[in-house]
This record gives sequence, C-alpha cells and structure tokens, in this order.
Amino acid sequence: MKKENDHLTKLSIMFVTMIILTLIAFYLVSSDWISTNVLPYVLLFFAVIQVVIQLVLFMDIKEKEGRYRITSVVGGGFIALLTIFFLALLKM
Amino acid sequence: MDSILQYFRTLPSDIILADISLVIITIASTFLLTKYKKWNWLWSWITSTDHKKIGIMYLFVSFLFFLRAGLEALLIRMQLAFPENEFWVFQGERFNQLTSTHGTVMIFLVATPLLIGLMNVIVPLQIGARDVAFPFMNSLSLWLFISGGILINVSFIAGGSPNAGWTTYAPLSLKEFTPGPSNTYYPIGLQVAGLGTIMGAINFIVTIIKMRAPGMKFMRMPLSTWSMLITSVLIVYAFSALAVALLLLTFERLFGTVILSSSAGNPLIWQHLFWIFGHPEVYIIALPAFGIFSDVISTFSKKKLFGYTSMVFAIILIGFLGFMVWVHHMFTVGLNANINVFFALTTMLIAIPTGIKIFNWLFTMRGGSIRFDTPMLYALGFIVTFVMGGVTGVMLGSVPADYQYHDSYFVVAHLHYVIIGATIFGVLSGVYYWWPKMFGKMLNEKLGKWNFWTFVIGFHFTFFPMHIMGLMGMPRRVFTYPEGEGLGWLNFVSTCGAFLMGIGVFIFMLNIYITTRYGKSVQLNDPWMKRGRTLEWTIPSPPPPYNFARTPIVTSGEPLWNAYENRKENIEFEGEYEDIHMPSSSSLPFFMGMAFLIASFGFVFQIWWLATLGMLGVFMTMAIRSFQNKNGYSIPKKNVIYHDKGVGY
Amino acid sequence: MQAPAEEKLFSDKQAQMNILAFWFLIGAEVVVFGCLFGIYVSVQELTANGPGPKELFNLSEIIISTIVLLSSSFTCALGVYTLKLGKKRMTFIWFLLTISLGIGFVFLEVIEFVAYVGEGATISTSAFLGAFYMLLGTHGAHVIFGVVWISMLLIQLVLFGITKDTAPKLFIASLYWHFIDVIWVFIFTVVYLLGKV
Ligand code: HEM
Ligand SMILES: [Cu+2]
Repeated sequence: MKKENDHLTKLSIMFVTMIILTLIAFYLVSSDWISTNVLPYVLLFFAVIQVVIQLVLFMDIKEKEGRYRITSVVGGGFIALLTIFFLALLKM
Repeated sequence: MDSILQYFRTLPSDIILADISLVIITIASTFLLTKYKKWNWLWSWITSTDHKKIGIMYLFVSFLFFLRAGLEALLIRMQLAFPENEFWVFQGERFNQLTSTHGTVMIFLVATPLLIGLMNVIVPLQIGARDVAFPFMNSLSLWLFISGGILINVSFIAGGSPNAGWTTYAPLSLKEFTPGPSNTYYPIGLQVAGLGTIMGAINFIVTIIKMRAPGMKFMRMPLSTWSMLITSVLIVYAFSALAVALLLLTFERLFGTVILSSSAGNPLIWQHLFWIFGHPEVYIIALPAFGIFSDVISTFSKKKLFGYTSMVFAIILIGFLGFMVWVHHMFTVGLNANINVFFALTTMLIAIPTGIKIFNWLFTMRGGSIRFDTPMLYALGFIVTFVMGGVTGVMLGSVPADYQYHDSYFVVAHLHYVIIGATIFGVLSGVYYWWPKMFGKMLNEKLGKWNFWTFVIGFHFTFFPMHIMGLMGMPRRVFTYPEGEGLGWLNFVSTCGAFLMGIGVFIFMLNIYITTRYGKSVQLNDPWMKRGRTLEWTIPSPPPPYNFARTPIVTSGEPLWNAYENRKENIEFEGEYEDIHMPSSSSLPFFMGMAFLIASFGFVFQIWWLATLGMLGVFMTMAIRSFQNKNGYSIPKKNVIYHDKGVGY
Repeated sequence: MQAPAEEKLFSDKQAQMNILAFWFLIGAEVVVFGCLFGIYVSVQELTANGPGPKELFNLSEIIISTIVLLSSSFTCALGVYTLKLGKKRMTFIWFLLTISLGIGFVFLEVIEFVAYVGEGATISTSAFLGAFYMLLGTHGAHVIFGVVWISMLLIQLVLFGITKDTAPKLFIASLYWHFIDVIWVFIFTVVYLLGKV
C-alpha cells in the first residue's frame, strides 16, 4: 500500500506544479517582468515541462515497450517541428 | 420525363458512354452473381477478416482502378498523338480532368494500395503469424480505401472530376477559380481513403513488432517485411500531414476560410503541406517494391542477399531522409536561396543509400545461378529503369537546372521512370512470385514473358521520348502543342508505346484468366524449384486460414534455405497441435465504409442533412463495435492435424 | 473480494497490442496538430481588417478553461489509478468527473467563440482567424469525441465491471485524454500567451 500512496502523492504534486506553472506563465505575460525577447522561450519552456510531466507520469511513456512509444512520439514531434519551422519561414 | 431526357441531351458524349457502361457493368455483374448463386460467396469475402483475403481484395480493387487510370492515360496519349489534334472531347477542361484523375488515382488508389494489398498477404506469412494484429481494423482499412476510391472515381459522372492536377495547388483549387463539386471530391475522397491507410499502417507496425514467431529477431526479418515496417512508419507521419492539408482545403472550399487565398492568405502553405506528405509518399510506394526485389533477386539467384545489414540501414536512412527533401518540388516558387541549397543537398544525399541498394542487388546476382522467370525479369527491368529515373532525379535536384526542367515533360518522364520502374514492376514481380502462394497455381510463364517484354518495351517507347520533349520545352499538363516544332513524331512514338503497354496489361489479364481456368494446382509448399528461403514457403499453397498449424522455429534469417542445406524438406515446427482461435468475420467495416461514403457525398454537394446522417452512421457502427464481444470461432485440433499432415490429399 | 492485480488486467497480448497501436496513433496526431500549429504560425500576422490576437483574446477567461482541462487530466489519472486497484466505484466517479470537466471546457469554448463571432471575428474574416478556428475547432472536436467515447466506456464499466476487456479500453481512453491536454498546453502557450506578447 505504501508504494501506491507514493504514486498518489506524486500525481497530486505534479498536478499542483502544472497549475502553478500555468499561473506563473499567465502572470509573466500580464506583467512586463521579463523582456519580450526572452519571454516566448520561457513560456515554451514551461509548456515543455508540463508536457513531459503528462507523458511520463500520466501516460506512462517509459513503461513496457517504452522504446516504441518514445520513438513514435519523438518521430512525430520531429516532423511537426520541421513543418512548423518551414511554415513559419513563410512569414518573411 | 422530358426534363430528364433534356438533361441527358446536355451531357457530353464521353459521360453518356461512361454512364451506359456503368449501367451495363452493374446489370451484368448482378446477373452473373445471381445466376451462379454467388451472392453468399461475395458476402463472405466482403465481411472477411482474413488478412490473405483482404490483401487479395486490395489487389483486385486497385487493379480495377489501375485499368481506369490506364484508360485515361491512353486517352491522354491519343489527344497528344499529333500536333494540334482534337480527339473526341478531351481538350481544355476535359483534358485537365483526365490528367488530374489519372495522377490522383494512380498514386493514391493504385500504387499505394497495390503494395499494401500484396504486403497484407505476405508480411504475416513471412514473420510466422496467424493473422495481423487487428483483423477487424484491417477490414476497415480496406473499406475506407474502397469508399474513398469510389468517390474519386464517380466524380467523373457526378458533377465533374478534380481538375487542378494531382497536386491540386491553391489558388486554382479554391472555390473562386474552380466552383462546383469537382475539386471538393479530391480532399473528401482522399481524406476517407487516407484514414484507412493510416489505420493499415499502424496495423502493420504492431503486427511486425508484436507477432513475429519466436526466434525471428528484427535482424532476421525478410526484406519485404523490413521495408513494410519502415513504410508504415512513413505512412503514419506523412498521411497525417496530408490529412491536415486536405482538411485545410475542405475548410477553404466549404467553410469559407481564406488561409490559402493569394490576397488574404498564402497559397504556399498548401504546397508545403502537400509535399511534406508528397515526397515521403514517393518512398512509401518505392520501399516495399525494394523489399520485394530484394527477396526475388535473392531467391532467383539462389544466393543469400548481399549486405543484408546495409540493406536494412539503407531503408531506414532513405525513410528518414525522405522527410527532409520536400522543398525540391518547390525550388521555383521563390523561397530564399539558402533553403533551396539545403534541400538540394539532402536530395543528393538520398542517392547514396539508394546507390548502396543497387550495388547490393548486383552483388547478390554476381556468381549466383540465376533463373530468368518472370519475377526475376521484372527485377532486372527495374534495376535498369530505376537507375535511369534516379539519374534524372539527381538532375532535377540541382536548383539552377530545375529552373529549366520544372513543369516540363522531363518531369513526367522522370516520375514515370521512378514510379512505374519501382512500384508497378515491383508489384508485377511480386504478384508473379507469390501468385502460387495466394492461389495455389503458377501463372503461365510463357504469357508472363510476353507480358514482361511488351510492357517494358512499351514503357521505354512511351516515356523515353518524353525526356527529349521536355528538353525541347514542351510543358506538362497541356492538351496540345504547335506544329513544326519537331514535337510531333516524338509524341506519336510515345502514343504507340502507350498502346504497347496496354497490350502488356491485356496479356497479364489473359494470363490470370488462363491460369485460373486451366492451370494445374501446384500442391507444393515451395513451388519455385526449391529456391524458397523464407517462412512463407514452409506452408501449403494456398495457406489454411490460420497459416501456421504450429509455431515455426526460426534460428536464422533464411530458415527454409538452411533446412534445405541440411537436406531437410522443411523447417521444424514446435509445440502441440491445438484448437486454433480465429477472429470472426464482420460486416461492420463494410457498413462503416458505406456510411463514410454517404457522408462524403453530403459534404461534396453540401447537403448537410446527408452528411450528418452519414456521420451518425459512422459513429453508430463505432459504438456497436465498442460494445461487441469479440469472441471469434475455433478450428478444432483434429481438423488442423488433418490438414497439416496432408491426410486425405 | 480480491482486487485484480494490474498485471492481470493488462497482460492480455491483445490489450498490449491495442495500447501500442494507440501510441502510434498518438504519433500521427502529433503530426496533425504540428501541421495545424504550422498553419497558424505562418498566417498569425495576416489579420486583414479583423482583430488580431492582442485585441481578441481575453486571458482571464482562457485561464479558467485551462484549469478546467488540466483538472480533468488529473481526475483522469486518478481514475486510472483506482482502475489499476480494481475499485469500480471510484473509477466510475473519477472518469465521470473527467467528462464533466470536459463538457465544461467545451461549454466555455463555445461561449468564447460565440462572443468572437459577435464581435465580427468570423472564420472568413482573415487568414489568422481561419487558422485559429481550425486549430481550436480540431482540438475541440477531439474533446467532444473523448467525452462521447469515455461515456460509452463508463456504460460498459457499469455493465461488465473491471475486466480484462474494459480495463485496457479505459486506459487507452485515458491516454487519449491526456494527449488532448498536452495539445491544449501548447494552444494555451502558443496561441493565447504568445499572442499577447
Ligand atoms: C500505363 C501507362 C501510363 C501512361 C501512358 C501515362 C501517361 C501519362 C502522361 C502522358 C502524363 C502527363 C499528363 C500531362 O502532364 O499532360 C501523366 C501524368 C502522370 N502520371 Fe502517368 N501514365 C501511365 C502510368 C502511370 C502510373 C502507373 C502512375 C503511378 C502509379 C502514373 C502517375 C502519373 C502522375 C502522378 C502524373 C502527373 C499528373 C499531373 O500532372 O497532375 N502514371 N501520365
Ligand atoms: Cu520529391
């Protein structure tokens, strides 16, 4: 039972972390605490942290056959980034 | 009554002819099915979840589409046979419809599903599995493909075919320039078919990862299986990009977004998305063919494949690089020069793994005792043709040169050398090779050779002159060209070649008819003169519904060949005989496909109640499936033993 | 009654294959949303005469829907947790909470869209708005689909209990739900927050 309770605590902590991250991100945008040049990267960094939490903790990406699961998501992410990058270049 | 007659009078003659032939075909097939009491038989195929039957249906349906698109190719060539020619109705608008549907059907409804069909039959046999991982989903893929295919094909007689080329570039494809249902068929039809393709790919991936016989490590898999694994990964990603492109076009045409418009948005978005899909698609239809040739060349040379490991890595590398070259289709749209240089480099890079493969095939043949049966002939024809197509590909990959070649007949020549050279030759090779496995009869060798030589000679006569036409400046997608520019005789030769190819296809059909009607059953597991090397040749031809009565023991990459070397008749199987559990057949995939078809018509013609009805049907069938208990049926042990030991044959 | 152990519930080969297949579907969906984001980013500045992100969005409303969806992801994780322990009632409650929050999210989104359209920001006003509605619409459609799907599974849960058949299905649905949430995190960041920067 101990192990299971641990898991429960972990879930809750991570959930609270995600909410806090969201609020901080929200706060950063409404104030001008960080210069607008760096802000986008900070916000994206926060998003990535949240996503990693979801994938690892909530979705068990590293469990059985994690190899294939990670390959699938990382591959898709790679192609998504490639697409976004070259589509974004169209702006210029 | 009068108004209906009036309506028919307004129709052009080709559509009337198409209507009439459709009616005749429907009546004739209904009549024949009733006369020979084959409706139940037909239904048992439609609802089947057996991967072999599904594969065969894939092959059959895409072959029908091949005939249709091939007919269009002949019409194109007839219109272009002479300068300033006016053949039947195929000028201007109608000509655009011909080329657009020819390209669309050939790529999406012929090349891709032909390979998927063949691999559907072969991959589970090659890895020693009893079926694919998801037999139900397999059938669903088939029916989504058929629904999408019907939609694209029916457009010709119902409202007009897509007419903006197989690439359907915006802004021409937008409502503004091509109103009416024509170009709406394209995104809707392909969306449905594409959905099926993605599901099929996931099915292959999981099957290959999880259902291999014990001992069949990844590096022991035959190359057909390997190539299908990588192809499936490409499909999962590339067809998702296509799905978004099609969704975007649907939004533009039906819901009034202005993302692709040249004034308010940016038409290049379509080109990017389309080619992010489009170039990997080229490898999706080439890699499985490479796999087939690897197996065929090794079998008919009676030698182990040279450089197996490098072959595998070449496939993976090609798959990876395939995603990084798409801008070579867009060199001339005015992106910045650095982007062009980057993509020119990646394009050239991809020639390296491809070259490795070519050399490996040549080294496999070197010193082998080669038999020149039809599958092998096609493999040899492939090597020659594909190298030529590859050379023109590298030429096109050089940016300044592409400014000359772009949108000329040079490109048409290049793409046919690559696609027919790899995919169509590959499928024909594979079909001749595995026909006895699928149907238990060898295709006639003599007709096979006739088929090969007419098709290949016809091919080079059709497409070689197109290089020269292109260099002389003839643009693609034009319905005529002026006299006195020296293009006339080249085009005429090309048209003659096209008819020779047509004869080749006819001989192929004749071969199938004669073989089915008069051919003898082979009764052997390995009908290719004991040259078989892989697991599919260790089981009866055609295999029983469960493929393998017991689990094959795999200790090497070429289990059957090693058994032969040890003077054994067949490989060893392990375990006791037991009752075999089979998935039950299901009519749901068929109905879901039909629901999609209904919904699609609703979308194309913007009849919203019909679309809603169709989508409701889709969700209903999904819900039913979710609640179904998925118990299959069991084949009793004694039947399995009976068949496996050959008692009673 | 002994709670069925996690291993037993998911040990079925078919269940494992289903889960693996679903991960590849997620890979496909990553590309789908990647392309939608790509479209959005490339036309972000083409606002024609319509409003741009700065004028249009009201962050304090978005923060509510974000918290709603994040919470649904958490309840969904709790649902899976109790599912693995074999507690039927709790599983039911957590998943029910999940879809209720999902419905709440959709509701908020509809209100938001209706307000935008009222301000004259329709799907054909500008390329930016077209891409915005396409991206958000696709995501919203996923949420609705998830709600319907999980409701079906909950009926099955009530009818058949936690079995080797229903447990993997619920687990897969939970993956789907978390994935929707992942996409929302990016939408929140890229569309709403960065739109304001
Ligand atoms: C059977 C013999 C075939 C002949 C005689 C033939 C002929 C042609 C011709 C003349 C064109 C150029 C139309 C134009 O640009 O005006 C064309 C285009 C094309 N063909 Fe074929 N073709 C054949 C088979 C195939 C096959 C097997 C495939 C692929 C599997 C294929 C794929 C295409 C594609 C993608 C285009 C481009 C269509 C477009 O520009 O939108 N063709 N074909
Ligand atoms: Cu390309």
